[in-house]
Amino acid sequence: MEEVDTIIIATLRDVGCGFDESVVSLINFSAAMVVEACVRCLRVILPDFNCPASMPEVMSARYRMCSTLANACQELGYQGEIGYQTFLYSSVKEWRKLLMFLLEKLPREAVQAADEPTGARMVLNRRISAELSAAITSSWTPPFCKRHGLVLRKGHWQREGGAGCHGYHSSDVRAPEGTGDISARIPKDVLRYYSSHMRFVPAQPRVRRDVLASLLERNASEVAAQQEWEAEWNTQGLTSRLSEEEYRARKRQRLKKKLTEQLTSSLRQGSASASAALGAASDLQTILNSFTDKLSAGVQGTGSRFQHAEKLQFAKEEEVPMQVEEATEEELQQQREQEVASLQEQLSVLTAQLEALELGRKKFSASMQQMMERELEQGGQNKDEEEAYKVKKKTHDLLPNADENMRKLKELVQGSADRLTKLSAKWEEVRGPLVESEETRLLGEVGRLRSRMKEVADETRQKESLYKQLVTEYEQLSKGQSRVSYTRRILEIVANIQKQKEDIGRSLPTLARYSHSMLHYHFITHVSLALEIS
Amino acid sequence: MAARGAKQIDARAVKVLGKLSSENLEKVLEILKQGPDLRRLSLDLSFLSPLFQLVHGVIDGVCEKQGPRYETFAKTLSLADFSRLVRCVEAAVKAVGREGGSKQQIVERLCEAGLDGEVCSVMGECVSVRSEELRTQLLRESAKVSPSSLTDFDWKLKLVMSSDKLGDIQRPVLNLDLDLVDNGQRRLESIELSQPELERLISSLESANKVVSQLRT
Repeated sequence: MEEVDTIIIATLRDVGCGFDESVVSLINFSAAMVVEACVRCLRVILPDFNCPASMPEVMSARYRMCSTLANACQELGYQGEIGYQTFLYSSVKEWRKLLMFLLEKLPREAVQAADEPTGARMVLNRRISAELSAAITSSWTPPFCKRHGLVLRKGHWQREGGAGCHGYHSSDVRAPEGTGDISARIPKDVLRYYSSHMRFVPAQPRVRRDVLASLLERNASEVAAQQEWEAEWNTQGLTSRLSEEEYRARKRQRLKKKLTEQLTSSLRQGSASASAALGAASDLQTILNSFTDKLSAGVQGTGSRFQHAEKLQFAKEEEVPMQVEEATEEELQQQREQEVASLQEQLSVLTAQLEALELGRKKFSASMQQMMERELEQGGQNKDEEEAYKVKKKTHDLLPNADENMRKLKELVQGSADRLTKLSAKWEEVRGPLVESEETRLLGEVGRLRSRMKEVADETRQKESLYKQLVTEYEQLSKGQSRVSYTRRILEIVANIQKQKEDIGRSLPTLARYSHSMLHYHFITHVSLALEIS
Repeated sequence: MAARGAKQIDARAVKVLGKLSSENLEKVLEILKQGPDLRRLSLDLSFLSPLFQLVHGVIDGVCEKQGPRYETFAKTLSLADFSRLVRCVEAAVKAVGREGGSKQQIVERLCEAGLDGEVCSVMGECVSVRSEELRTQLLRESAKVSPSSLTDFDWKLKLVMSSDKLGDIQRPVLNLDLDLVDNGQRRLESIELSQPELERLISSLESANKVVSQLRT
């Protein structure tokens, strides 16, 4: 049931219900939520269903609202029991049943329309299918109920069947001209025609239904004529530097001339009967008739107007030299202008070509520079590759008797290894005695240093004991003598010392070799002696 | 009284005109010259008004419009008289309109043929007012060089959805109706064109138009 509930809730959110994210099951639903879901579904199913989505506060209003909802559901065809109590006091099971029924009734398009592909073709197809389905579902209407095949369906008039169709025939329709401009006076007789005898436009065509076709045709031909004239005026008329009327008159003259030339030349070439016709006929119509008779006789009546026109055109080309002879001054002028224009055009074309060529040259020189750089690069690469190639070639040469070469290679490797061991042995030989001698030398040094250390230590001990002895001796000495006697003694001692100093100075060179300690010892003994003496 | 008189005059004029079955103006005018009653036509305006109506109606008919209606003249003319009269006036109008010229020239030409002065002036006025229209129509007729010519065309675009063999075709088809006049007879040619065929037709028509426009300049 959980899955069903999630589907129901997701669809209800699509329809527009503002449920919390926390609502995952119908168990969480309150009566107000069920009412909202029902109202929103019914709004989608029935476009004209109009009811607020929130439940009112007042109990009676609630009762009314739930009753209308129940009625609507029953009208839709809900099978189970339903009433106001279903919404207000019912179980989850009932609600689920009701909501599932409503969701099934939802129109499919409302749910799916959003994610369908769009495109002109699809839109057209959909419209066609909609139209066809509408035609299938709509009821048949007898032809006498449709005037000109027109019938009103779903608020739109549309044509059904071929009853109202007719061919497209146009006829010439006219309306008063020049009435818009009040300042221009229209001649009296024209005015009389407009006011009393001209028919209204809808009455002009022979058949009433041709009015639209005639109007369309008239409009189209006027537009076409205007466009053609503008195109001609812009291309040729303006360059001729004539006013519009003058241009028209000249064109008419030219055409007339061309036409008469055409006709006379073709008649001259034509048969005797044609020339007889020319002699007899005095107006253009007869000449034209004879002309067409001759032509249709020539091509067995299969010639169209287009073919005649083509023939006329080619005949014109043959006649060009004749026209040049008869060219007037003005035409010469025009020709010159044309020539100048064409030459200028040529010049511009040539300059454009020159520029293009220049550009091409620049491009080529730039590419040449690039090419040279690349060549250098390629040369370096080439050398590397040649070396690699040499190595490879050698290997390749060696390949045929690989075993022998392998053996040789192994021997070579062995030989170098042997040499290496030999060398290391030699090195050992040299190194051994050197290390030994050094060791002995160092050991001797250490021994000497040790003995000297012992000697110094002994000396220190002796001197310390002497110092103690002297200290005790000094303490044992009596301290009762007067200061004067001591001073005298000191003076005597000093005199003695002076004497001794002299002695020492005399005996110093001989005693220089003696150690310092000995000197000191002597000195002390002297002192002690002197003290003993004193 | 005046109205009755006018009717009588109408009837007489029509009798004279009605005898003229030939379509050749010169012949018409010759006979008109001999018709003594026409010369004695009074200058009653009530006669002139229907005459205006008649001539304008005939010109309308020449210009491929709704021609004069018999109901308008039914009280004064029999159907046979009416149709004969219309044929005569038509021939006269065509002959005069072909030449063109000012109103004065037209009237003179008609008078030379021996028509009554008032009738001449009415016809002259009608023709000169509508000379441009008439001329266009006559030129259009004489421009139909080949036996059959195109007067109108109509088209319809259809989309073929499927056939009995294929479920999904989706191909556009153009239905082209060509309204032809073949030796004075209307004939409808209906063609169905696929897209490449239509393009071919349009390009050939364009080249034809180019030839024609070159011819015109």
